[in-house]
Amino acid sequence: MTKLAIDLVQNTLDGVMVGSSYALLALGFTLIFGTMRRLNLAYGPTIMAGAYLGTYAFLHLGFGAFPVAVLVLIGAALAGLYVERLCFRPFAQTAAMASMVSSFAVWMQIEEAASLALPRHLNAFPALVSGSLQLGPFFVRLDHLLMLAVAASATLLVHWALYRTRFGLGIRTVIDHRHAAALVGVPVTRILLLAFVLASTVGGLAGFLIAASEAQITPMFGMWATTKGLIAMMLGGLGSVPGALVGGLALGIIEAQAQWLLGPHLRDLVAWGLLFAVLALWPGGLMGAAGVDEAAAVQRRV
Amino acid sequence: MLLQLEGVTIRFGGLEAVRDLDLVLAPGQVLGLMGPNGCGKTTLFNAITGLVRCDAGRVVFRGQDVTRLAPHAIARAGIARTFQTVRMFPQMTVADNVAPVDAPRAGQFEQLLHAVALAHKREVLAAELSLEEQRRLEIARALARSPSLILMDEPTAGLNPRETEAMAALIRRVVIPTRAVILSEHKGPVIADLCPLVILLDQGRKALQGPPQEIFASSAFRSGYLGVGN
Amino acid sequence: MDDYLVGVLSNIGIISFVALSAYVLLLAGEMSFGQQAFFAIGAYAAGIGTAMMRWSLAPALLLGAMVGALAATALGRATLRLSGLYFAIATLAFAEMVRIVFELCTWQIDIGGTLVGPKGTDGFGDIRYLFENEITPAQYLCAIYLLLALVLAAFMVVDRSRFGRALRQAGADPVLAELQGVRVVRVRLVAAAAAGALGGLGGGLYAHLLTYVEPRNFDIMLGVHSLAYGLIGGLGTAIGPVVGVLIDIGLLESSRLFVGYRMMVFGGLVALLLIVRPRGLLDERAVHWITTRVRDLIDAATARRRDHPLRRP
Repeated sequence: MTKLAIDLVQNTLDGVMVGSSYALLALGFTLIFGTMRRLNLAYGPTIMAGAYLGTYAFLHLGFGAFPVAVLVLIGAALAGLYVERLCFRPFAQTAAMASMVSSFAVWMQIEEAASLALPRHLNAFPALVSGSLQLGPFFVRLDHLLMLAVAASATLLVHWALYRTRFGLGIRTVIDHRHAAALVGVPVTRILLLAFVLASTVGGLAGFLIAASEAQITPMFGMWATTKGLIAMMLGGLGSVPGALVGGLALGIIEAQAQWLLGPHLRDLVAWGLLFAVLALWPGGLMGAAGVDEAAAVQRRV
Repeated sequence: MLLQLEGVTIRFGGLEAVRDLDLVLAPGQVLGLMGPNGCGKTTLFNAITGLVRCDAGRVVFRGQDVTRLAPHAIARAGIARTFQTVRMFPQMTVADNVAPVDAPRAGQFEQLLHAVALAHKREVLAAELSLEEQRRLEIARALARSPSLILMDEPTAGLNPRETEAMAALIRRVVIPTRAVILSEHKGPVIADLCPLVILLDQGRKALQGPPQEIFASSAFRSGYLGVGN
Repeated sequence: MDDYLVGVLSNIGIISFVALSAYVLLLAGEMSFGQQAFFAIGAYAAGIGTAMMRWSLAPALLLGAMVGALAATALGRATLRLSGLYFAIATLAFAEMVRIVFELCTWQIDIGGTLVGPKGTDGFGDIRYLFENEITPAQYLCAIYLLLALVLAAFMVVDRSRFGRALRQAGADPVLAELQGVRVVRVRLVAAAAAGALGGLGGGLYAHLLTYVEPRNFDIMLGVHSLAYGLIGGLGTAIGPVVGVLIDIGLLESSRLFVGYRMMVFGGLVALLLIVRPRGLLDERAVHWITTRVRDLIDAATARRRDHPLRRP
């Protein structure tokens, strides 16, 4: 194989690994968006809250990797609950902007609280495994492989939950038509809450995996996670669960290739540029909008 | 001919909301439109006013092909519309709701506000009006540009019998003179009172056309509204 | 006047421009997370104007506003088909792209022995127009507020005009507005240009106040903040966003009470306020209430004069 081909494939492999964590981030984001129909700007920060809780335990209480993981999930879920209660539940369906600004306000709260709890910018985070695997001319980091495995399992689990359980059915009906769901007796408020918690937990898992593979965490993590989750979700299509997967992997691969070719700055430029292009040309995302929303179609003509 | 629809077809994804519809309307004519929910009445109105694109067919208004025209241009050409669920600018006053933007604010619309009995509420925020007052506001809003055609989508929806009668009287007094009306309604008495000619829609097709009593007596009407018995 | 106070007031004045920039788009019914891009563009353009092209301040600020308006119109055209959330995210993407472009671009020229101009991530320093022309901070403060007052006056006039009504209608219900003959597309583009100009003007003022700007100043935080100010202060009047800025920078940043906890308090305040007033403090309803009361007062006063016994009927 030529050097170019090897590089391209290596980048793709790396991209898929990293992309799997983006897919998890996007999955959580999309679950919230699908049910709430609003953007949760505090999403990344809630994951960071969990991650910081875990880091605190690691640094000051000497917890190991696995207990830290559990703490991260719990922390993220609790933070998600806080956001849901304060920023989403009190608002009527029409006050979407208010919800979003409110979630931004909470984003600021969490970021500040995190810096107060752990004042150092860089904080160590427990790593999972180290070392890499060699497959022919390609290298695969073991922790990345673990990330991929866990992300894949989590996605399958969420898929199973959505399509094979009553709870999942409830979520899907609420996503489809909230009012109708309420009319047929679906406990909408409870479903929304649980969906939020599920989304935050999935996000927390992504956060743990990412922080563990970097073996560190900074207060910028919140914004970073929101950004990546957002781009991946939009690439794959807002509110689409398979889209989250496609978008996450696509973002990971494109970023890996762009970084190899153009360096880290231009890599970010490419990511944003891609998002902008997708929005300008295909507002429905790569997977497209499945059903047709007449009101939206009318809106678009104007 | 004021309005001509030729072979209008509108699809949403795989669903054909309106199928090959032909319609002709003379100036000043009042046409009733009936049919069960989902038969395409609102979609048809959306198409005529330019909110939704026709997949096939033409809409001709006063000799001009308006099929591809932008909604604001169609409004300025003289077609107005009211909505099934009252639509207005809730955070603006009654006067600001009614006056079109390309006209100075005061004065001209006093007569219109008086006609719908809302003149005394001209500085009230639209959100603070009762449903019945909001419906009257809708009518004033739609008439503000002196349209030659007005499409009314269930103007009595949500009103009790007394209010319905009052609304029908208002339509007869204020809306119908000097302009053509297509009135979409479920309430038979309102249609019978106002419309000499009625079109019955069924799943996007024109099922029947004729005077109200004929339509009410037809089997198509019964099966459309009440379902087919065995 | 105490230097610190002058500094805070100048900051409030300048940030009001970005807040007003986001506000114009909110009136048009669009939520933009990206107005900081025009703030950045205006800052760099105005800085280039005075520091590199040796222009005086006024034309440089004008340049900043115009380039901002142009960029905003281009963005507006590209995002015409988008609404709501999609639009918001597109503006965010745009702003980040602009910021990264500034991180990558370097253009320096030799002015009297030193290299002056934007230098990638290091930013753009030596915008020393105010120092070179001995304009004191207090004088600059007056200039800022004069401009702000003019802008607010313009808003008041436009709000009552046809365009102002068309704008609010297009924002409240674009479909209905179209049906009432409003050219929503045109209204949106004009609003975008105005917003870009406001952001650009503010950016120019900012660059000269600080004498040094870097891409990091123009991040997502600024964008979301400027949006938040309008939503907190109220969308009923242009004074609303300024109130929002006052609450954040004026109340919280300058008060010693909240050191270290400012974000948390501001965040909590915002979240709670929005539950009670989703359209901000000075929302349309509040403004309507105020104007009605004022009108009643005026009517009462003039009526009393009319009923004076010595006046002929």
